[in-house]
Amino acid sequence: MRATHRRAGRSRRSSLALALLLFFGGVIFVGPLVVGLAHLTRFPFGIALFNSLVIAISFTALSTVSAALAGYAFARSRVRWKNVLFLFVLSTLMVPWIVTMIPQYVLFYRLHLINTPWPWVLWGIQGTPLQIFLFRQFYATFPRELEDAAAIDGSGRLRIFFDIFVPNSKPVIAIAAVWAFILVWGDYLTQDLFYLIDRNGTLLTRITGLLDGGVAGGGLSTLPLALYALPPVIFFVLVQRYITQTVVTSTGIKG
Amino acid sequence: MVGRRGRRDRKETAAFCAFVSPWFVGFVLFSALPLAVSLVMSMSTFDLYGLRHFHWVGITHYRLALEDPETRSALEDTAIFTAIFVPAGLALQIGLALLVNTGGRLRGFFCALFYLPAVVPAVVSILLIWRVGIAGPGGVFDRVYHLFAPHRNVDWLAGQGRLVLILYMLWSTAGLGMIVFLAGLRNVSRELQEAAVVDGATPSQILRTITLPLLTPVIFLQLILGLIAAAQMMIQPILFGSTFGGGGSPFFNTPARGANILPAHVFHVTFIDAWPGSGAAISWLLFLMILAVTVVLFATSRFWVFYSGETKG
Repeated sequence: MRATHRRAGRSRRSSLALALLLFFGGVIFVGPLVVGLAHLTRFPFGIALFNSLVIAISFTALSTVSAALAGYAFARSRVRWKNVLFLFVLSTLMVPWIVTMIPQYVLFYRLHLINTPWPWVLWGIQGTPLQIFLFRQFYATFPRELEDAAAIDGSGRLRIFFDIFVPNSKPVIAIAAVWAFILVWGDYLTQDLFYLIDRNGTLLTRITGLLDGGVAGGGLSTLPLALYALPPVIFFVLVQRYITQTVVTSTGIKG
Repeated sequence: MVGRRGRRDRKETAAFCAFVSPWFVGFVLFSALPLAVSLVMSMSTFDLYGLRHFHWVGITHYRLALEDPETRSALEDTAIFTAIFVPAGLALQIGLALLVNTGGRLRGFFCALFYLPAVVPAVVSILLIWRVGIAGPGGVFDRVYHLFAPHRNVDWLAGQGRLVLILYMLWSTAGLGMIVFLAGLRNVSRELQEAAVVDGATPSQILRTITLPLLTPVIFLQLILGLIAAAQMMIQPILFGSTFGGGGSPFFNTPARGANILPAHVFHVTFIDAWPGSGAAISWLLFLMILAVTVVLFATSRFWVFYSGETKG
């Protein structure tokens, strides 16, 4: 009895020590990142890079989560009018960018959100129609028995989603996330419109600003633009095997 | 029993609403509401950069847009571009998918290879790769052309703007379509194809009578998505534009003759001419045209789209 007590005490102490170690280790490893990011603001394009990273990361993360939830609901819910609502999701594909962009600009202008990353956060919360479509198609192929078994165990919809669907959908999550990143990273017009007045802008608007004389002469001003294409290419190479897995070579459950 | 089922239905509906609500709120705020506002905008004039001096003008913008020769020529460019790009794109995507599908172990590699152009941002691939190395003086087009006509020069960007734009769009969109078709090919039954081979069918017969009919649902999907994409691309013709005018930014280029498709024209009218009301009217016309074509395609789809599930029942 006393032995177990002592062991429990020791283990509690050691786990505390471990937690402290981890915490300080984390500070040591993450601290430079934070300091480095703060230092970014001193580089000529530092704030622009920071802005680009913020909008790309927040849009990618939020839109993937939101689209996964919506796609799951559209694929698995037993609600009668869900297909009507899904038509609205697809119909937003047809709306030209420029039709909604100026009213949205006015909306964000009135809310004082121009020159901030907030529009991208809000768009991210909405998710994009293609991502929702992707998740819906993928989740529609899951066998119903899995879900029913979990429902009998008393799991709610959200529990089922996180316990069964999310762990089995890594490829499609990766594809949707990289797709969102590529979308926002290369979208010059929106960034230009919503960071127009900001001296710092985003990395893309600053880099293309260097090209004032045109690119035919080549020269150093084109180098940053070439480097700008690297992150999406790298992310694509990283998830490339997921695309081939789900689309080309996989012989899993058919729809 | 009924009560319990009713409660479960209500819970199910509540869960559905909760999951869809982030999208729905965004849909109302960033799609439905702006659409309504832009409809109002298209019927009024105002100062774009100050957002004041609103005047109601009714359908004047629409009438002027349909009479304006520039808008008419943009409409014509859009029609020609779409009529060439969409069918050519579909053929290219199906061809690539069939080709890659025979690739055996290297399928994954070729799949990634053909998709790569879609990953590079248009700003980079047009300004750095296509304007300079491919369509520029001494670029790939020039070299190939000089093999056939050594002493003649063509200004590809200015003179053949439409051709360059179509080739660029084919190059940058083929990969995604190919992946969709590869996924579709997985559902084409192997047994049918093998049975046809046993019966002595040639590869082209199999393609025509088995593979393509079974692919029609995917072809339909890609046709609609391709039309929508073709009618919405805006930055590409601007970046290919032939003059670095205005503020020096490549984003204020004027598209080459023949490549001035409607969205680029709307961009010019809205931001450079600063007539947002007129721009909104033209983009609403564009939206209505996309909608009409989509509806017509959906209506005719039952005559040529073959869903294998229907026969199985």
